[in-house]
Amino acid sequence: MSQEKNPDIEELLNSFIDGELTEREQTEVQRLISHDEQAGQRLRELQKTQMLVGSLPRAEAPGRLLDKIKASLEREKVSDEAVWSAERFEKRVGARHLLARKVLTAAAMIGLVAILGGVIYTIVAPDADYRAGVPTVAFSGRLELKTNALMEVDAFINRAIEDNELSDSVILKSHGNKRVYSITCGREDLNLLLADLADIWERFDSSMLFVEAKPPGKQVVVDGVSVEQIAKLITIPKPDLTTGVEPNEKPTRQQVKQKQVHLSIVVAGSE
Amino acid sequence: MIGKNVTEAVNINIDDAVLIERCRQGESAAIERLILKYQNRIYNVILRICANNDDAAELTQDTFVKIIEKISEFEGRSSFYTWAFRIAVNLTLNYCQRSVRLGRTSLDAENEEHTRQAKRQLKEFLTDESCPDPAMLAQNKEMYEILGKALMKLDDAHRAVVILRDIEGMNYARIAEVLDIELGTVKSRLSRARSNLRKIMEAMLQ
Repeated sequence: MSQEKNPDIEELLNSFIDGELTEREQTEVQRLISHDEQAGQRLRELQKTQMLVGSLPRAEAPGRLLDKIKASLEREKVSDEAVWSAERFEKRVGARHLLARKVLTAAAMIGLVAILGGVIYTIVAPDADYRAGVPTVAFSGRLELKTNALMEVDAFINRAIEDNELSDSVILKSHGNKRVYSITCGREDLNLLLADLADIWERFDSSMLFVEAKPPGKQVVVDGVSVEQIAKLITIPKPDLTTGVEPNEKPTRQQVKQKQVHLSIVVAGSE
Repeated sequence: MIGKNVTEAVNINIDDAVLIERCRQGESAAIERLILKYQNRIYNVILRICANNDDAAELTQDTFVKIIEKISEFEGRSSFYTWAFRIAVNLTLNYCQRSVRLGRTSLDAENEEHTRQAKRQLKEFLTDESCPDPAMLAQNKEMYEILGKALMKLDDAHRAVVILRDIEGMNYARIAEVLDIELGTVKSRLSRARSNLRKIMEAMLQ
């Protein structure tokens, strides 16, 4: 019945049917169909098709559609509220977690900085005693001895140093009739040396001990000191002259054993 | 009951802008009136595109739910009528595409027998220039079944443009807005759609 048509003519005829043409275009179409039998036939076919589709009965929406739409809207509303509530809850919980994480992070940072600060301070900060110009030993003193048998005493002390294997810990200086034994060693080692010195203690005419004290530069002088007293003095911390209070902390055995002490023994005398 | 309400709602002829504003404020009476005002026209177009009563009812429901949900986003650049039909047609065409993929196309006229009388009447109408107004044939339901099946044989895009023009009576400019296509595309698409529809019907009436 129908044949392939010129698309432009087809569009023109359809627009004519639908009233979408200008007045001039309508005139052209009317002229076309009056002169072209095929175009006229095609126009009628298209009109029939359009009329047929347009005559389809109008369907009415189902009776309960309104109720269903309202119910559906209610469900959506409840669902949205539930989602909103859930999202809100999640946001609040999330905010709490975030705050907790921030606090923990800050605490961790502070802790880390404190630890690092401590480590750095330990590494770079000078020792309190060093800052004060005091040797970093638990005990520092000078023992001045006078004798008439300098050669004999000197020989004895040197032997005692060798016997106690303290040669590496002693610096010996001789100034005429004076011998200076600068000893830096452990307390026990010094005690052993002092125990040996006790054997010749009667050969000394005088014995005076100068003990370094706090604050730096101050000294405590003990005249006529005995070996036992020296041994006792080197086991206690330096006396503090700023407060006038004797140190009451009793050193532990481990502290006594480990700490280094310094004693310069100055022997002056004649042959 | 509802049919009566529809008539009343349409007769009230409340301006869409007023209704929309009240809907935005969540006024349930306004929402109800808006639905009643447009539900038949939207349902009819959807039904003619998808050709299934249950699907059409569900799609109409979905359309109105979406309209109410999105009404705050309606900017008034087009008329509400155009905007609402755009939502309805898009939902329906998307559904049709899914149905084709799922093999759920509801009509298959290939093997169906129609009465000789219906075929003859339709053939006469299409060919006989002296045939009277098609309204005289409206009582023959079978004839419209054939037409419905022929429409379903068209491409979705062609079917939509024919229905919007010949059933809903939209002009070309509004069809272009609803389908979001150029005016020239409406012209060419409608021309091809009518031509194809006629060929399909002629083939069915052989």
